[in-house]
Amino acid sequence: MNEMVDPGDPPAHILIVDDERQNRRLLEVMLTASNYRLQTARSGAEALAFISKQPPDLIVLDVMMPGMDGNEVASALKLNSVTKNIPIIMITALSNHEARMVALRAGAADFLTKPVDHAELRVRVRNLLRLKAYGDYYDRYSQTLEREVVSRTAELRERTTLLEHQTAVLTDQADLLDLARDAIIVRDMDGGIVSWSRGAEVLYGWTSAEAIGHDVFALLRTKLFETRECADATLRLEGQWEGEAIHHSRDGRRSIVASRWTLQRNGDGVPIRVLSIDNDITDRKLADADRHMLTERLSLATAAARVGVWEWDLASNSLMWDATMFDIYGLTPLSPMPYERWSATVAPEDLPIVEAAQRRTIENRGQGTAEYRIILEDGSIRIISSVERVVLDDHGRVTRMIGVNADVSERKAAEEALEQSGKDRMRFKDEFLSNVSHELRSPLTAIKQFTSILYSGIAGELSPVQREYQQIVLKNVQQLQSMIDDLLEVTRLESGKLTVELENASIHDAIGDALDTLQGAARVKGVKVSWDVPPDLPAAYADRTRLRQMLIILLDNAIKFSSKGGSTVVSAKLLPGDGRYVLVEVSDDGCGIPADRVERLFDRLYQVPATTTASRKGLGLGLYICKELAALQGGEIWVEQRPQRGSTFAFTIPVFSLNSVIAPLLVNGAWPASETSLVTVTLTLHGELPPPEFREEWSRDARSLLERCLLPNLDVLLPRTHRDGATEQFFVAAFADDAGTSVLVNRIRSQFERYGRFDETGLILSVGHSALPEREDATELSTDMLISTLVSALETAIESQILLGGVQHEQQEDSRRRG
Amino acid sequence: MSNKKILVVEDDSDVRLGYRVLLKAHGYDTYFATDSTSAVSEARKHLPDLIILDLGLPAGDGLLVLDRYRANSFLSAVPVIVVSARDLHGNKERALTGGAQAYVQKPFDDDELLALIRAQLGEPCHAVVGAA
Repeated sequence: MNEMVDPGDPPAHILIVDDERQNRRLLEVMLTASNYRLQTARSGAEALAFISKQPPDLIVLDVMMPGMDGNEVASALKLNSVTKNIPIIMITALSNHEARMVALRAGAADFLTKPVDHAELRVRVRNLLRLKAYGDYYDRYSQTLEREVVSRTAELRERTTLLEHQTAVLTDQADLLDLARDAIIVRDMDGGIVSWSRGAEVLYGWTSAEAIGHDVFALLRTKLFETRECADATLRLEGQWEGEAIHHSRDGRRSIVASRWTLQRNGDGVPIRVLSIDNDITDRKLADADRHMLTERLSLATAAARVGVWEWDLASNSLMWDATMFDIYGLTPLSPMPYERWSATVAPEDLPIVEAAQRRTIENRGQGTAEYRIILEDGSIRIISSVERVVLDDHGRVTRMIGVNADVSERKAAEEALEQSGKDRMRFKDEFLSNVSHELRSPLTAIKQFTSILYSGIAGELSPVQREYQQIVLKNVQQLQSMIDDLLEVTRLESGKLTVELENASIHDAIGDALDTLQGAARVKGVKVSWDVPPDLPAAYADRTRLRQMLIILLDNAIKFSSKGGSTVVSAKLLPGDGRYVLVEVSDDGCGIPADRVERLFDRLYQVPATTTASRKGLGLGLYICKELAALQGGEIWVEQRPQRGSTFAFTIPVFSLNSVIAPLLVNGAWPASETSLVTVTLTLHGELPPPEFREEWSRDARSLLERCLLPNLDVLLPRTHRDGATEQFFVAAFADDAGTSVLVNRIRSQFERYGRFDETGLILSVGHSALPEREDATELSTDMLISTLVSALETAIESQILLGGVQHEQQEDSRRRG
Repeated sequence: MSNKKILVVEDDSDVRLGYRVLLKAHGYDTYFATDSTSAVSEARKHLPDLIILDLGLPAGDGLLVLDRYRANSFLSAVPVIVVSARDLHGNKERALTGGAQAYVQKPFDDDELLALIRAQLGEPCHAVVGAA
């Protein structure tokens, strides 16, 4: 005990609590000599405040205090774990038993009665301090002990948990062993099965009970890829053997297993057992074989087809090529190889196109194709066809591109040769047909000449019968001639040489002309031909000659197929429901066309098979030509069966509209130009009107003559908008100022004069020009607006010119009549 | 009827005969050449008022003959009507730009040919129309 109150220890701290100053002083004096550190408090509350700051080793506490008395202070201290062990000496004036019990219950360790005896106080203080020191030591010791116990307990618990976990793992593993597909078999040194796992049961089909005791090699009919002796030797030497084996299961199925044998020895090192683990790799083996086969096949295929396979890693911009790729490009193999090594071989003019295509493929995350030229080291050029596809990573990003290349140079050359030979054949066919028709026309010319001579009576008067026979000859010559024409027409259609010249075409005139041409044929057949065209029907935007040709073909057919003495009707009107087209219909009252033939009617060389009509069939090209001509002029053709009898052939043709016709022409011109003029070329015929074919001819000639005077992109020859019997007007929109237009006008005049032909055929030429009004706000208008402004200005100018031309013409008529 | 002179350049003898009969009947004096060489010499010899020229000729194309007519100061003003069995397409334009006054497709219509001849010779058309 002594060592616990060692004088070297700091002096004991004693708190004296009393409400009376003399008492505090007295107690202080009594304890001073004992070398204690003394502190005083005047009330219970003050005492508690001091104690909470610094707990004393002992408290001398007066019971009777105002406010908080000694018992309350003691009770409060006993409730606090830090202060509950501080010994309290209660000083009380009361000596009765009850008061002492209260003090003891409140937690006092001892008590003194007032007046306090000096010696008694010092003894009790000293004793209590010793007790406290012992208590403190015991507390500290027991706390240490307790901590140690706690830590040992925790350690134990940890160990237990670990153990439990290990047990669980072991249990799991044991379960797994049985769950595993691996067959685990233990055999003795003679091959007798000692243990047969669940996996073995599943893999080989025998239960453990059935298998145990049998010779494992006999049971499984084991085949090794080496001799059994060899495997056993390895096992004995190295303690284990690994290899593949073929086993047969109970149902006879063959399994390929990866087998691993481990030798187990007893304590004396004598081998006693072999543990074998068989892992079924049959599926993997088969898949391997398949993959190997596929790879082989693919490589064979790519090699045979000379298709190279490549892969492009975008991040490193490097390429991986297979052998065929290097072969195609004539490069020494290098893998991976920089992208530039490829791009340098691509023909420089092709590279941007190929790279753009690659970019598109990457952007679309799809597949692309390309065809480009490469230049080999020896300078020869090959054509490569490429198919490429992007490869996406897990985040959907394009990281790589894979593809194949094939050298298609030979194929390309063959294709070109084929195309060329096709063209050659086509040209040969054209030439042949052209020659044939030429050769056919020559004798026909003589036949026609002499028939005409005989018929006209130049070689002597003919009898009526002779004249009739000559008429028949002429009619047949005519047929032969039109067949030859049709043949040539089809040749032109198919070689794309047939062009149409669209212009303002009067349907009225076209129908009138066609009826004139076929009047004779209709009269001979006794067919009544009538027509129905409203006088206000707008003009068509068509090729006059071709429009007439179509009408002649359809009318000729209609007359041919009409019954003798029957009737044929030609009508034209605006297409119901679509005012942009004119509908022309030619109807006959013949025997009609069987429904199943209608579809092929417009095919080339198709004829409706033998009908009751006695007429000759011809080549069957007419309707085919009609269909093509309709299409060339922006229309359609079809046939309908009439309710009572016969057929109606109908076709559409666009209505002429200056605006829609002129606007497209201007878009390609040098418009907008600062100034625009309208040049009007008027040709007026004097004297007798020649037949329509001749008028057509000189009109075409004049047009081509005029075209030769114009500057492309600066002068636009407008489609013919107006024509009547004796006057032909052409309009040119010239994007030039007054001086420029004058040059053009002079060029036109001199060209026409030099040509001479028009003078001689009695044509009068007049060339005039007028500037179109300028618009001040022109710079602010959009191109569309400018064009529509220009078109309407042109329209106005043309209309006034047409009126003028008409007036001139009428005046000439007047003067001629007067003359 | 004036006795206008017409030179016909034509290699087919039957067709030549046809021209002879037709043109004679309409009061023309006719001369003939059968190939491109005689076409020029006969024209220089007879100085015709009008020439009917076939294109498919032995010893040279009719278009070359046309060039030689147009290059000859005596013949350059003589109207030429090209009459050919060749396809209208292309040939007509070549003939007209080469200096021919008209292009007639074989087999031709007698009346049409006569109308053209009269127009080129400046004779009244109605005479022909009346004769048809």
